[in-house]
Amino acid sequence: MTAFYDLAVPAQNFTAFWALLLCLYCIAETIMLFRQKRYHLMPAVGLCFFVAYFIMHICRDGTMQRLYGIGNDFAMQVLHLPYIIILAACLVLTILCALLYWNITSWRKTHISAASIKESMDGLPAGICFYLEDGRCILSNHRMNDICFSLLGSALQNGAQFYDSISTKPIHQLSDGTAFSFHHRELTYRGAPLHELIANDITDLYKKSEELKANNERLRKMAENMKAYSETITDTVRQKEILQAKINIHDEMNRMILTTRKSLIETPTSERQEILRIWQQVLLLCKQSDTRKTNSAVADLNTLAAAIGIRLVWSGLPTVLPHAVQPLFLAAAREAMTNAIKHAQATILDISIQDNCDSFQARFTNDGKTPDQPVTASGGLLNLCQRLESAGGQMKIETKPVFCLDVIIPKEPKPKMFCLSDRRGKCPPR
Amino acid sequence: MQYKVLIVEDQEMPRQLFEIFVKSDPRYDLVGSICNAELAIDFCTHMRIDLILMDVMTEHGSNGLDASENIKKKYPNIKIIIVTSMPEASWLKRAREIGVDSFWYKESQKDPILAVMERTLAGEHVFPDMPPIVQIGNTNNHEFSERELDVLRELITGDSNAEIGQRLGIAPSTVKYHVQNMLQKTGMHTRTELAAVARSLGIVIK
Repeated sequence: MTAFYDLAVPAQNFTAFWALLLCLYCIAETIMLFRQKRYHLMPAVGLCFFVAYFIMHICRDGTMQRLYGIGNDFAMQVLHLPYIIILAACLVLTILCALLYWNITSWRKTHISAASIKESMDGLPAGICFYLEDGRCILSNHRMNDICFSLLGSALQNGAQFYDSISTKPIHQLSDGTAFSFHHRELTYRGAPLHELIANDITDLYKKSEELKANNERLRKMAENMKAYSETITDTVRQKEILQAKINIHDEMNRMILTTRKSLIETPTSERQEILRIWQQVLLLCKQSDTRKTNSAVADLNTLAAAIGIRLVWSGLPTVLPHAVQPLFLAAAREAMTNAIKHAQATILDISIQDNCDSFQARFTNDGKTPDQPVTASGGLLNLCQRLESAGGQMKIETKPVFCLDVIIPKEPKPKMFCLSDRRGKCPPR
Repeated sequence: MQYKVLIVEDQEMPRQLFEIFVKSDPRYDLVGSICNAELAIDFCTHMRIDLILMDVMTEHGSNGLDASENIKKKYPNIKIIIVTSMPEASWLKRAREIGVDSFWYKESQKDPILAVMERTLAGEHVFPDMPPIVQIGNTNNHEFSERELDVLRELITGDSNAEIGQRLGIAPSTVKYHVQNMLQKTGMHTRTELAAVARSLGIVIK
């Protein structure tokens, strides 16, 4: 049978080239397997192909003999084998190589490599970092590196240091406006502690949360305004109605004046006197209204006193009793008036008012009989005392030589907020 | 027999108008005309009163309905006519509950006050069917449900939905739903605007 050595040179070269190609493939695959820390038959097959190429190409023309003086007897013996054996050996190695390729491909389809894990983590929108107890990072993705660079101005080298620097607050906002919340937990990996640090992108949530805070603040201010408005609205509405009434009266008066002028020109002198009288009455009424308006509490008390048959004698009454003072003054005067009629059968109630710097002092005495025993504050007097004290005022009762109710009403009473406790019996007369 | 009449009204013009009406009719004797509802019971205690014309919002924040309730408890025979210009629906309801004899809207009611006084003294109860119509935004106060008016009344305090819901015994989301409904009906943009306008028109008063 024809020896391999006796074959045509192109056929020998083709076979050698075939062995070379497969040898290179085996070397490349071996390097990849080595990186994956996998031990395989592939290096052995590659070595076989290399030996085959070496014999068929390098040793064939005696180059090794000439250059290095080493004998190529073994190579010559192999080359002089029947070519069919050489080809069969190459074919067996090729089939083996194909089987290994199929095996490696199948394994790759069912397994992922460390590079794949890193690559997939780099694609995550969240930053992730695993580091050991001493801070050495064993895995971190691009996003976590970017976050670290943005926050600390340096690349992520030590996970523990990075965590210490960002753990002061739960959410960090980067210069580009993105916001991250950091979550840390301790794991165990192959028996050793491992730290996991995850930075979640919460930019949208953070923005919404900031908007919510701003809206809540705006609502709080609106609620405050609304409360203030609801406290003043009653007076505002009343003033509005009064203003509207004034406008109507003004228009009506204007019309009346014009009509009067026309009548004065057209009517005889005797009738003019009647018109003048009516006008004087109207003006007097308006004047009375103005007086009543400034001290409505006083006017009401006078009306009540006249109706129930007691005379009020005022002294020191200011031209205008402040609006804030009137409710408490009215309450005190009512109480004094009721007691004067009910207990003392009085016909005159003296009301003396003194304007102090920041308060009014009102003193009520009557011409009725003096109480036989000291007066104990109860019922209406107790309620009055509580109202006065809660507004920052005072009440004092004297029974000798005459019964006297003395109240001090602050010009700016404290707002009525809430009742601290039942104060019944805690406001004794002094 | 002359009927003894007491007027409780803090506004000058309506009070003078009532005084003129009462004085013009010889059947009535005006015993007093005051600004503060709290004093009304003192009149009733010390003298005979047959009829009171009582405003609701009177001087120094005293409430005519509260005063009427006290008077009716102690003196059920005294006739009381509530007079008001505010379209607040709850007042009409409360006036019926506390046993007030009649209710008269100052500006919108067609019956003259003297006729109402006469019918009331004759034992009749004169109440309008509903408060006067007041336009608010794209709608009017009659288009609001009773629950919506309750929510609106609480809204003017400036409190949150949770606080309002707690007071009314409903969920905050229900309060929000009613507010949204009212905003939709009126065409207003904010709850503050709605509350402020409703209060200034007198649709709800707390």
